[in-house]
Amino acid sequence: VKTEAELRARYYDIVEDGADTGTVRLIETLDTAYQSGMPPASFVAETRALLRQRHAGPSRGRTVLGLALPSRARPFAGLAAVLLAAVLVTATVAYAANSILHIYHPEQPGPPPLSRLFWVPSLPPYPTVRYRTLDPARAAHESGYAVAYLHKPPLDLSTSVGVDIFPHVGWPPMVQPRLTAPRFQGLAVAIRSVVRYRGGGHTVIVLLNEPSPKAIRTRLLVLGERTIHLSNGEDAWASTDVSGSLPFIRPRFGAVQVLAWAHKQYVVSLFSDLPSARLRDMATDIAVIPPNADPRRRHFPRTWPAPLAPDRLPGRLRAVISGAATYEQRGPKLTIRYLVNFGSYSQGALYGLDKWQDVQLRIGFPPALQRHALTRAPEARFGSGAGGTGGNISFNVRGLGQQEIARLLRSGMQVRLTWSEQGKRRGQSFVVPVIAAKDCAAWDPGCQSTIPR
Amino acid sequence: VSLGDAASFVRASSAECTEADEGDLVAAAQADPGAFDALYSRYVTRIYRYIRLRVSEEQDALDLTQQVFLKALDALPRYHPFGIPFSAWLFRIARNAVTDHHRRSKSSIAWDLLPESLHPISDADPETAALSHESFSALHATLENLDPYRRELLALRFASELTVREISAVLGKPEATVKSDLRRTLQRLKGQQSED
Repeated sequence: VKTEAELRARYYDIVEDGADTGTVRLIETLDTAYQSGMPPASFVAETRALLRQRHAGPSRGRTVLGLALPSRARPFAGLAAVLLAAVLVTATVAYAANSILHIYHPEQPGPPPLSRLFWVPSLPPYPTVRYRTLDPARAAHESGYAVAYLHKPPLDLSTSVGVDIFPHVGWPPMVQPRLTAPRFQGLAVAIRSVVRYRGGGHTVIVLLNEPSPKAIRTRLLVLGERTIHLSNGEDAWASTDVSGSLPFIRPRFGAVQVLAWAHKQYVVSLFSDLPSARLRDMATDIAVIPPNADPRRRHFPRTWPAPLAPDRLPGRLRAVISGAATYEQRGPKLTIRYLVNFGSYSQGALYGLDKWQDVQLRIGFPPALQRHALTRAPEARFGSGAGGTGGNISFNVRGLGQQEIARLLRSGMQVRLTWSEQGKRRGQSFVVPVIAAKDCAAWDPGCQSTIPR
Repeated sequence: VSLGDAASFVRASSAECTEADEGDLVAAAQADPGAFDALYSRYVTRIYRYIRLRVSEEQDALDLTQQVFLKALDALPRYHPFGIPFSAWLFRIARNAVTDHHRRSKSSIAWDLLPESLHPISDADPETAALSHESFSALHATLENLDPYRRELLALRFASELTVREISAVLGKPEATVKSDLRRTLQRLKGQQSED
């Protein structure tokens, strides 16, 4: 409640000195009435996050020679259904002929061979990770599965150690061939193990990936955005993720350092909020235990502790879990093909999309393009775990050259998903990177998708 | 010195401080977009209130509010501090966004009429709350009789908390005209309320 003096001070420019009490009372009524509405706190936070993403820009995430790496490089990214299944598979084929990983060196001169590049360090979506409180060496020995871990974890990171191992089920020809263009089928990255160390407010994750035989055979693997040399003389690749998509490593959009290197047919990666120099030290202390040669001896012992519940983000719903888009300009016509996947990663599972109703997608482009699009997501695309939608948006842009279009789209397109759930309207926003169709590479799910074509 | 003079002095001093402080915030955000956060925090509620008064759907208001800040962030490098105040510049973006929205949706729904979601929630005693509700209902009815221009003036002054000077910059009208129009609007509202 404001006093009369406060009201007079606040509205000094419209209330005359001699204004009577009735006028002041009217001012008070107007002041109270007009200033009572507040935007929902969740919306304010969401928009703040969006603005941060926007000024950070997709290209400030992991990049290769300045090109935005696709969201697939991030843990929630890619074609959710495809990626989810793809990362959970393992190889049963022999690697004798395919055991050499061809790594791309970002520093090499000349344009990157985009159609051959394939991004590897790939964390699983966090609800699928269920750590067991186990010593990683024991876990590897007793299970017979491949595990990578810190041989001697620093004391300050030993408060909590969790291990999750992903059993081998074989490489599929492709999980959902309908969604994937033929030339991309068979390209996948398997997750073998995830070991998490926590202590002193910091987290280090040791990840063991294995690219699929086709990826090894046909692709140059991208492990990071800059090459560094480890003290043991080996090369490793470092990158910094500022996408905010690794909330259990560094919440609130902090930078997460990633260091990855090749080991036989595997790629070992460290993810941490610690400085990259510490990751570099740890990299030379990693043990990689191969799987037992006899598949029958690979199993999870009954004596192991039960897995912990998946990590959760209380109150935080990630509705748009990934998105990718490409653009193509022919004359004045600009066509944008997009693919957006949505689900929920905040509730410990990819839950209840079937409970979502009236899902709408609003797509906004940079102001200079003067374009907004509203689309209703087809109900048929909802599954029990993830949903998605894609499409083409074409419009004429006049007076804007290719360079200008590229510059405008560099900051991505804004996607706002709204839906009804339990009678309430909810919404969430996301920035989806938009890259030129001609720059499509194998690691870009937007290019892989056949939906929008 | 009258109470009004003192109030004017306090208000003018604080406005100067605010503008100087805001100039620093704008300059910081122009140098580093990461610093835009402070401007966003300062204006998000005011922009939302203004837009909420001008569109019929809450969801549209949220979408447009978001659009305004994204546009502002993109356009900030082009903002010149010697032109109009930052607040007026931002509200111009909001005003244009609302106009575009109405043009796109060809909406014929009346706006500026204190949507239900803007009715204040009172923690006063029931009797006071009932009186408040009554006065807001009366206000709502009174506002319906105003033309869109006057409703916008009220929205900019009371919901967006812009000064007359800032409103004149948003609307592109002389300061004296805005001041006089606002005063007349208040007199008209007061007259209608006393008739009721």
